[in-house]
Amino acid sequence: MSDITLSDVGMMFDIGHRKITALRGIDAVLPSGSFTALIGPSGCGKSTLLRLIADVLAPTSGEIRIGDHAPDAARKRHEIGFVFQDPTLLPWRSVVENIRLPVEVAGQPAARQPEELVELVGLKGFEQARPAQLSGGMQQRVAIARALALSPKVLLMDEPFGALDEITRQKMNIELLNIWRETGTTAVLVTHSISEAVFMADRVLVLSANPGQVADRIDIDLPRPRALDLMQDPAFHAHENAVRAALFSGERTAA
Amino acid sequence: MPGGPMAEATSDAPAPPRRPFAMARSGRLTGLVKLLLAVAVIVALWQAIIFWWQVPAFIAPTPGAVAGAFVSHFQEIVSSIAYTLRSVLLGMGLALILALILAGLFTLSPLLSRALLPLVIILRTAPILAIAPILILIFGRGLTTSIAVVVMVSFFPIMVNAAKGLGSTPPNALELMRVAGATWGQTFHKVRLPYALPYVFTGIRLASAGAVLSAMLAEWLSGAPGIGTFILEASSYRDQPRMWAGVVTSVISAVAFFALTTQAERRLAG
Repeated sequence: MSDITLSDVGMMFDIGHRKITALRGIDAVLPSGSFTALIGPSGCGKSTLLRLIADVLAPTSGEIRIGDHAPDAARKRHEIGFVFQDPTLLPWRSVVENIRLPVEVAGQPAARQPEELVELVGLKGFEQARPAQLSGGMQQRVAIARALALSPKVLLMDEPFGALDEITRQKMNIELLNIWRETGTTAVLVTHSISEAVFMADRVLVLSANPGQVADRIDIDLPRPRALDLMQDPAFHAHENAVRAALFSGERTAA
Repeated sequence: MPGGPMAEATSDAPAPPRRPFAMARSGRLTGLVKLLLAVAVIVALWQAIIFWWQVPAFIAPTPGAVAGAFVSHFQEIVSSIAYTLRSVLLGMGLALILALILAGLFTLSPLLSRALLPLVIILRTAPILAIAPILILIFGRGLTTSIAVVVMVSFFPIMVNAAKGLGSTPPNALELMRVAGATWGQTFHKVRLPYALPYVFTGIRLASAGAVLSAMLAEWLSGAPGIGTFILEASSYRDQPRMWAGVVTSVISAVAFFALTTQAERRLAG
């Protein structure tokens, strides 16, 4: 099992001789195989929280568990996939070679063949292309394929489609949901789009800023698999409104 | 200016589509032709200056006399320049390895970098002339001293550039490797070093410009049988054509070595 458990997680940064509290008292359980969205105003620490789960940063207080282990054990066992805001591909490697990078690092046999992943993210025929020859959306697909190369137990995404246009973004979201369903990984998506959060997730954690805290937790009990026409549904709008209300009540408390 | 900007624009318009065609047809050939032309111009100027101002042969020989000396001392020149180039290649290679190791250690620990960098700078700024006797004492009067001098001169520009390159890895790429559970060595080899390659090559290019000269300097001080010693001997006999045959050979070798590193850079880091 790979539930992600956050207990009283706090994070302070030293900036010169000033201490800034980025996150305080974060409590949450993200069940194994679920899809969670983190949403909040900029500067609320949602990207920081994602990096704490990935063990890129260590929390200054509280504890994070992935399954029965600390995040650094999960990281060193190559169980975490991470998709950054920008694709972060190595420019001298081809598409397939970029996807193979985590496999080389782990020194284990690939859980899924890179060629198969290229097909999964819809890039068949571009296996040997260099990142510079691909559009932004295609590069981000490569980044997602790379994150899936070892079938990670945890898939962390930091506004992966933030730089894409609306149409590409919605297509990518549907593809991502299919991939997630197929792989059964525990997914965490940082976003600042309310409709994206509701469309994708089982639950939305709304963070408020200064310091970053969980303002509200909204369960999204919309049926799966989800398609674009779900966005016309009154139930979808009701959930959107609930997230929006939580976001703005958080703003009021902060102000 | 007759015609004004309008006429300029119309006369420029058909040019762009013609240029790439002409370049593609004769790119390599024009390079060689340019080189030969440059050599011809230099030789002609050289001859012209001697002819015009009636420069006596004991100050500067004619190109013909130098060519004659080159032919009659051909074997000695070849073995001398081979000796010098061997110390240049070995010295540069060793400097590259040492520079990468030290630059790599610097990325591992900023403290180490602050402790060692002043020492490296002292070693670099101390005149070779002063250090050479110590090197000769340690390494003898042969190839090893030449190599040591080339290393001392080449090491610094390579190391400084490599350190800068290794420090300029995009932070996201480093986070990517961390999340993937990569070891320090894996991150260095798969991400840091490739991102640093253009910087490393800049360092190699800077160092290669002076490497042949520093090997010759070492020979002047140690008497090792390279092209530097060949030039020095000819000079002490006041044999101007022989000396200039050596000088021309060393200059051509230095330019060729520089061109070689530039080519390698284009292949590997372009």
